[in-house]
Amino acid sequence: MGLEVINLSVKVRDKLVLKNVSLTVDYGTIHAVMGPNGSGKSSLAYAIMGREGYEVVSGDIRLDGESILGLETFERALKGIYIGMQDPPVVPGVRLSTLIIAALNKRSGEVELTKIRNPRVVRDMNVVASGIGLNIELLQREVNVGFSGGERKRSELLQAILLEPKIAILDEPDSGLDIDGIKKVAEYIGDLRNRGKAVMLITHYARLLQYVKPDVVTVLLDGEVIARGDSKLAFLVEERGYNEVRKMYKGA
Amino acid sequence: MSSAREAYARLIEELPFQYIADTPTVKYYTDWRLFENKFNLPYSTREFEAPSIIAHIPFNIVLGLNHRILNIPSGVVVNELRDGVGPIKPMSIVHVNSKILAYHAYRWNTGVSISIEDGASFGNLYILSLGGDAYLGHHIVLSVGKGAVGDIYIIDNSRQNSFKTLVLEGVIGRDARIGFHILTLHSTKSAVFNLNHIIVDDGAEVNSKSLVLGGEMSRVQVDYVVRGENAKLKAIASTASKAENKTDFILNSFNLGSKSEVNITGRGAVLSKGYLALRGSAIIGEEAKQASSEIEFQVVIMGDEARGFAVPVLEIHSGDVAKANHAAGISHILEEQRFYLKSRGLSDSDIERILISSILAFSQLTEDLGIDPMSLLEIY
Repeated sequence: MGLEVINLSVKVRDKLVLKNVSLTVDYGTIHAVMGPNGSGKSSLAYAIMGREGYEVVSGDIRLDGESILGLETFERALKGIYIGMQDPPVVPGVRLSTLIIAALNKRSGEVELTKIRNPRVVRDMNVVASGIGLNIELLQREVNVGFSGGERKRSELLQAILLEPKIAILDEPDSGLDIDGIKKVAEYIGDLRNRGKAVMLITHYARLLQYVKPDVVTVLLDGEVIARGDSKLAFLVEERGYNEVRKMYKGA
Repeated sequence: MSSAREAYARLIEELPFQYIADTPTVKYYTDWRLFENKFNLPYSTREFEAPSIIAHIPFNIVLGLNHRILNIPSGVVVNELRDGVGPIKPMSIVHVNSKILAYHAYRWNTGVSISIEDGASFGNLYILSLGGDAYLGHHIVLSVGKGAVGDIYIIDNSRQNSFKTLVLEGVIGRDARIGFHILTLHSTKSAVFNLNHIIVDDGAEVNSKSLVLGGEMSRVQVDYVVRGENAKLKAIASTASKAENKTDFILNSFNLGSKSEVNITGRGAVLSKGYLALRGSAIIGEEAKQASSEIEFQVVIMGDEARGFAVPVLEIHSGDVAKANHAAGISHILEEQRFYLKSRGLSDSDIERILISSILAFSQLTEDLGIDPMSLLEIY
């Protein structure tokens, strides 16, 4: 079990951005979703999280066999779905540590969201942040305010690790990182899989996939699934390009 | 009433509330009518105790109907402030250039003169200014000696339909390391004028945390005159305004010393039908070579009828500046921010509470004073 997307069609305003998309992300696996810009990768992530404006026209999204279409975004998050956004917004006034503490407290049913109930939380934040190369001083800064691209990605990954989701959707977690950063991030993504999480890894280059081998690769183009395969598919896409792969798989 | 005081009575009639008179292009962020309506209030005959939320603070000086000087830290000398007595005379640093200041100078009922000795390491000094049932005016003069180290907290409170003026004028001596912090908590029926004018001398460093909450009309102004060479100011401010509150919170800085550094950051939230102006001018003077000044304000509007303004102004008169920045933001919570926070498991009501509580805690003053920011908002 894990996350199932079944024949999903989604429109934003009047435009169909996903057309009959199906995929499964099982626990303990990494499912890479590849595609060029505008292919529908981020739309798929937003639709799974129930973002306002992403209207499901048909199909279903299930977590452990149960439809989550009727749930609000925060309820989906509390059920165990996490999204690490490609371009997370700034939240002036709210410190990163406060956001993480509030999210953890919410999950443990605390009423006072910003109070630190367990000092271990602070220690864990510092340890994981250091581990993924995020300066721990950023924990005391406002969420994403003045963060570089790489710092935002690391912050998103930090939250993915600390919030212990069942399903981690990571939207281009490698952009803005240098090669050492990519290796470090890949190590932690691999660790999420090893800890039994289901990881949906969105990327449009195979660069990250050199360091973290996906179990399944799905290729999206123009909102449709055009190919699915194992990790070799990622490198085929890199070598031949998306249109060529579409022709190859259409003919297959 | 001394003759010095009497001279101000005439100025009350003659001066406008602000230097810049009414014009179609100049905005008044303070609703001065609310002050004017209370000008004829008599002196209070009773003062109101500190609310329980700040009762745990070990106040050293309490100003109300009169002044009480309690346990004063070593190296600090506190005396009753009287007209014409003491090293810094009242209204000798602050220039009486407005009706409200003339009113304060004419009517303030009690005050203290605080002198901190050279090199004193005095820990924390807590000053409480209480409100009454009508008018109260408090005046503080502060003289911090060379190399002194410590934190000064001023808690300004009023709880009733009242009018209060509080003016502090002071000098931070050479190489001193001072925390200068202001917490103002006022009821929705009070009109409050609070002015702090601080001069910072050579090599001195001032860290300032401030939080302003409540009041039918609260005008809180902090002027930092960073006149010393290599003097530094770092100010962090938080404020919020909810229904029936009007707040005009002003943080001004004047770099006059060469290589002086100023950094001012403020965050505000305005709820329901509240009104909030968070503003200030960062001015770099002509002689302030290689000075730097940064000023940034952000106000989040959380109500359809709420009104908020963030107005940082940068004015540079020197041709040789190390750094100068200003930035402002006024926003409703954007959809992408709301989605982002919801994707962390937070509901709409959680998001509002966290945003408000974070903004209130932003200055770190609540943490210093052991106060839960959300409890503050429930009271004020």
